[in-house]
Amino acid sequence: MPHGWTGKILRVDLTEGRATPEDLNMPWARQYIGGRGLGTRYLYEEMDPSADALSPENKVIFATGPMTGTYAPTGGRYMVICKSPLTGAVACSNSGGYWGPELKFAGYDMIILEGRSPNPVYLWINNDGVEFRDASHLWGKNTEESEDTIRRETDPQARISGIGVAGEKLNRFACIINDKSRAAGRSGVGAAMGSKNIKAIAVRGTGAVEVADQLKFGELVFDSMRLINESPTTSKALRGMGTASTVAFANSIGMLPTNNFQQGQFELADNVSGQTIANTVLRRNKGCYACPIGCARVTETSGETKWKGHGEGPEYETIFGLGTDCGVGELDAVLYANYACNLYGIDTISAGGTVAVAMELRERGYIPDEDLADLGTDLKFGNADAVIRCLEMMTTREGKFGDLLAEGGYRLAEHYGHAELFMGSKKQDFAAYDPRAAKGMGLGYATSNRGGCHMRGYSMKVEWFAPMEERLDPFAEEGKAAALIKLQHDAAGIDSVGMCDFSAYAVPPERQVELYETCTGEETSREEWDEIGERIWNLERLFNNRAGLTRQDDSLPPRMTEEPLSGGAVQNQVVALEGMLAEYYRLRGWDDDGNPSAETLERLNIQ
Amino acid sequence: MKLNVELQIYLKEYSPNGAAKFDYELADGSSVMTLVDALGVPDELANIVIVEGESTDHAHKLKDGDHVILIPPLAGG
Repeated sequence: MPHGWTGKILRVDLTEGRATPEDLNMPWARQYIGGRGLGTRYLYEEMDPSADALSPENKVIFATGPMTGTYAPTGGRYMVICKSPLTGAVACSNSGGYWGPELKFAGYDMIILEGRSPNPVYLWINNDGVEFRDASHLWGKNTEESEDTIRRETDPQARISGIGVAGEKLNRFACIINDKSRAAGRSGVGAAMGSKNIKAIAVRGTGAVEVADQLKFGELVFDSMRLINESPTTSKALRGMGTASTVAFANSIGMLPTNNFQQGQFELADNVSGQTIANTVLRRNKGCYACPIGCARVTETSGETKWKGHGEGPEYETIFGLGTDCGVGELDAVLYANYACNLYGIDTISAGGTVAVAMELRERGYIPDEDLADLGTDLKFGNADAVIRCLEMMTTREGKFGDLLAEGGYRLAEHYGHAELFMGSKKQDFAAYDPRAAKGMGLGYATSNRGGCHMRGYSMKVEWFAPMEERLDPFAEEGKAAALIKLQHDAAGIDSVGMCDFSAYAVPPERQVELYETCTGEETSREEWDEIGERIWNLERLFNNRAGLTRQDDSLPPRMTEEPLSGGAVQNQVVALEGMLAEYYRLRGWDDDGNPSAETLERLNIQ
Repeated sequence: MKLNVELQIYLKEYSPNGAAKFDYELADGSSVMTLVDALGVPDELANIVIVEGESTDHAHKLKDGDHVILIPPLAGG
């Protein structure tokens, strides 16, 4: 039996109602680690990338890493890999909480969902036992009701990962929620799950993850905890204020996307800052499995508001998506919208991006009155009621406009004849960093294998957040391709091993390698770790190319390349993408159209 | 000279009056480093410096009336 990995996967044929354990492909595990890398390897092998993402031909893979379920700090992650209904590219969405470790304790590294169930079902995995259970009574229920019901029907200690109504309705940016508020958020993995008629996967496991060298692994874990507790980023900023600590910074610089990226500063930013959240609505912070950071925020609306609720959030990205980018500066409204997204099962970034582009389309006169008859309020920046109403409509596909919203911001803008107003890449909305203030983020958005995203090479690390003497000029294009490539490989590594990206602020790749070696008993090196990251990146690229994506999809909207921002430190900046992109392709060993060369694939041993 | 200082997130711990935004007197010709030292902020925690809306460094010479923002190492996501 291997260490770290359980060595087993569960293949689930939903069409036939059959679940079959299989041995994990260990040569692939050594080449692709786990999680994102290994899940993509299975997807690439088993699925035709040109198939419709919402067809039974798509596969939805829930994949843990070898570190998931160990006591490595933040070793609680799992990923959902499939073809994205939103982008048509590969999707890999990462979540924390406790579901991933529970799957390992039940004895599986991975679940592969295939086909389509004739009726709504949920899966109940209780150690070795696997049951398909009727979910017709759960269809139409929100994520919280669904989770509570399934737990009552299975085991009080079961962990549940599943979809809300948005996933059932095939909203293209529906997410998967586990432990009530942890989200595999991006790229519409919830719609892919919904298309298979599966509401949730409940898991209970009582086993343990075997570690190869307990003593050495334990020493490394202990020292890694020390690193996390000594790093101001992890122990002060993230633990103290969560990701919302970034709001004030971004606004000061002038890179806080506001009103669909038309401005980089928001006059009501103080209302929704990390400091304000800490002073007003924060009840406590919270951590995922084995997490010593605790960046999650447990919050409750202020009580003097029409928007009442409690739950988790908001993250920085959510404050931007449902707040500043829609011109909304009422904190209670942002919280309420965040809770609603978690209950409906929709990605807060793409939900916000979709509403923001709708607001701009409306203000520019491109959406006629009759299309908005069901909205009941003005679709304009700053109107929190419009945001919340749009969330309802996009979840249930209510009316013509709700149906358009559920298709995502790109298709919505295209429908009204102005796709150029959509702020994203590969049909996926940007995250909360205006790339005109960090040119590497622009290249990162354009080249991200899953479309507009900040987690596929977070260039902010080297452009703004690194120690001053190591920092790259955020406004320069020079040197960004090489820096980004390294970050993209690092991200692929941590996403595959099963640890949280936030741990990497304190636990460097060199230490991740040591943890991996002592956990699995497999020898590797920092150089090989980087090569594994490169292999994963190129495999994702191959999937996308076979799905029909080309160089034209490595793009930014004209607002980023032609319209300068004003305000803050970002005066007169645009992104000169083409030069960076050519350099990026050259450094990657790709041809001018963005196809990996035969030499590159051979060097990386990709078959 | 009189500066208008803003200490973001946990750097507020180094505020002389507990407020994140405050006015602060410093000798003419002082640099950002002088301010950082005077407030007792560890150098490495004054990681991002913005003066009058422009990103700058610790050697930057300040002038009367400047709005100075000090920001510690961050992570978004």
